[in-house]
Amino acid sequence: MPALRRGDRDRVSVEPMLAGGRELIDLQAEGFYGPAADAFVAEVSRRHPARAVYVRATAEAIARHDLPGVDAEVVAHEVFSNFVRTHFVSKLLMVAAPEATVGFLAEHFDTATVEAALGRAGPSVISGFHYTAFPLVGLGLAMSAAAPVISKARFDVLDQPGTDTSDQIVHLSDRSAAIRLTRALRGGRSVWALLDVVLPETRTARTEFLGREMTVSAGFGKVARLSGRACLPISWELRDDGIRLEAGAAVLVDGRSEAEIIDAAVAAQAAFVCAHPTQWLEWYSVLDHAPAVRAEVRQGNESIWDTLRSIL
Amino acid sequence: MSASEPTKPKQLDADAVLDAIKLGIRTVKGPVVAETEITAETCFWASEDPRPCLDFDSLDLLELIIFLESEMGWQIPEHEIGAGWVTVGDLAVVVMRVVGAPTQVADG
Repeated sequence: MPALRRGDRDRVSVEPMLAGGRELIDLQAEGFYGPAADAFVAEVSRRHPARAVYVRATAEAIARHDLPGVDAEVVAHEVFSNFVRTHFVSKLLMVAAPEATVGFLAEHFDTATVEAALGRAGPSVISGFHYTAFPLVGLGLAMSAAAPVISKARFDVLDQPGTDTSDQIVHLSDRSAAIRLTRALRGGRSVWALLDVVLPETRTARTEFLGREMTVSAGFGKVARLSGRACLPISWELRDDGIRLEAGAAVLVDGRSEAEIIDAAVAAQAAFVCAHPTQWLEWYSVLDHAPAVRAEVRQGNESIWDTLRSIL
Repeated sequence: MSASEPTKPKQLDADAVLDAIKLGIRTVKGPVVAETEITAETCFWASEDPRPCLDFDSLDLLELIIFLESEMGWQIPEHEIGAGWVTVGDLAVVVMRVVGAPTQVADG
């Protein structure tokens, strides 16, 4: 770690989260996976104002599904750790150590399975849920030969002007977002969309996931139908040796209504979620009060970033 | 008009553009606007504006833009989409500009 000036030392002594963040940045690519980031994850978790709300809602959602061999409380705590690993470890390193991030992805993120699937299905809506390290996966896909347009729900610390992939990003808050995604697909380019988060004031659709009702954004069904392009379900797991990416069977649009496209694309995520319940960060999406939970979690994230920005 | 035979944009007048946009709106919104009189002053988005409103969302806009593209052959650049539009007449002005026609849009 670089030598600290006296003022920095005083601040770090009362801000263990900042000290942990600096140590994480010093780890460079090694911070992305394995136990190296555990201390930072623990400190952010302890400080996060919405931790209790998140864990309680996640445990409630998991318990509803009665997954065999799954202790909802235990899994909910692991999900929260993965949430912190995603929103703070991944994003902090992506911003503070961009070259190391690219190096990590080159070495530990193999997109061949998705590229092969796109070769069969043609340009597609590459669709997944919010699993651990999703921003890193989005960047990895953007850098790959598939080079999809990346749809992004919110502006955050990752939105740095002038980055190599900034022109590939469509913010869903833009009124023209769905049009840009549809035109990209019609023009022969894939797009990446995460299905399990509903933004305020966007049209929603009710679907079923693991036998329970769930509200999702209606947009990707319409974009797929109007473009005539398939949805390609993907999933991934952050492991000690990197990110393991999988592609499922493409959901073809032919003859399907928008509701049927949505149902099939969402259902395609069920097997992965059942096998890897700690990886899905948005379990509480199946709860009726998900928007209130999401708003509180987002506010908590912003308060943590208000502190962390000082070390960027 | 049919989807397989898009009309090529030629010399347009304001009334023709407005009529096409109104047709697109009725196609997109269906029975919801069956009883609604649509004029150049009709607003797309819900707001505090007291004028009549179509209550569009971003997916309605997507369908309308795709309709205008595939049925009328009017390709609206992305930077023009939604930027500052409030009324049906505002969209007509954009269409007239991108297809190179005069930008005088009548109220009606």
